[in-house]
Amino acid sequence: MQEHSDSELLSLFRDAGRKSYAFNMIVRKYQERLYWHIRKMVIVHDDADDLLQNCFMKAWKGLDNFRGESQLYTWLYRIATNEALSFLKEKKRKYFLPVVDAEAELSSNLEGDEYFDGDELQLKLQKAILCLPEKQRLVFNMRYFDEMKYEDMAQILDTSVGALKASYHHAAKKIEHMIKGD
Amino acid sequence: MDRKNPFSVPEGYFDSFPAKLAERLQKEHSASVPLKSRLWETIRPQLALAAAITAFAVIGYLGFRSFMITDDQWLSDEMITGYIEYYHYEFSEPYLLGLLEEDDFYFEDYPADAGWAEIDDPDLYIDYLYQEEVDLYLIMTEF
Repeated sequence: MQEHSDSELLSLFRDAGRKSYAFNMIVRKYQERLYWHIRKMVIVHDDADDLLQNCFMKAWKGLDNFRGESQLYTWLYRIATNEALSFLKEKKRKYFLPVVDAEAELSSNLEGDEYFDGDELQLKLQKAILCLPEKQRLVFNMRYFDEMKYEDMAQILDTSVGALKASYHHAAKKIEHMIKGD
Repeated sequence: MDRKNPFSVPEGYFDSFPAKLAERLQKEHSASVPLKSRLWETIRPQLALAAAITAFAVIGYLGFRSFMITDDQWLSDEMITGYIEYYHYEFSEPYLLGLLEEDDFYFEDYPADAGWAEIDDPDLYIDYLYQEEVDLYLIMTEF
């Protein structure tokens, strides 16, 4: 299937008769990238599935007001990021989990996850990532796995490029330390 | 270290996701339509059918009724005249003549500042009766 550019998709979306078709194209174009972004944060597939649906529901409702001040994909990433962070925050609040217990629960989910195909080293890496504060975890995943540009990350996370570079540097050091010291 | 994504998804997940999302969007859209509007949408066809049946029944009944009424069931000229006479007897000629005999009869059209001496003038009575086209012969025979 031919992949349309973001501007083409937005033009199609603004045409009332082709709105659903255009949105379907947007979903097909971005579903995988957004899913993996969310999944690395919440670990469990079912949670990631729910949050991805919520993310696109919000996109559907908000796309009429999208004026193209940012790129479509950074806008969608931003929604997905907020969904994932809100979910984790709500989970801690709901079950009165302290930060350490929340990390332990995510690690435990990782070990029992039937949709985790990584080897022992990858499991160790993921567990180390889960020990990072949430925002540092986001930065590390986006840079290390998605190889996203700092400029795009700055737009999504509403942070300066310098702060992101520093955050990534700290995260990488911590992970290296945890893996070596394990 | 290998940067390969260690996670996986159920088979066909990404193929079926757009359809699943479209279904949820449709459900939420239906749920967001106000209950009043949904109720109206539901009962509108039944109401339209009921209105059509009622209109058909009324038109049918009126048509049947006018077809079944025979000419002799309509009011005759005599009945109409009798009705008018019965209910409008007070405007009959003998009634008006009777009024003339009453002491307290008063000419409503007579000037309010006129004295009783002027009202007692017989010519005034005759003028009035003439203007009202009362049969003078009948007056002469009665009085």
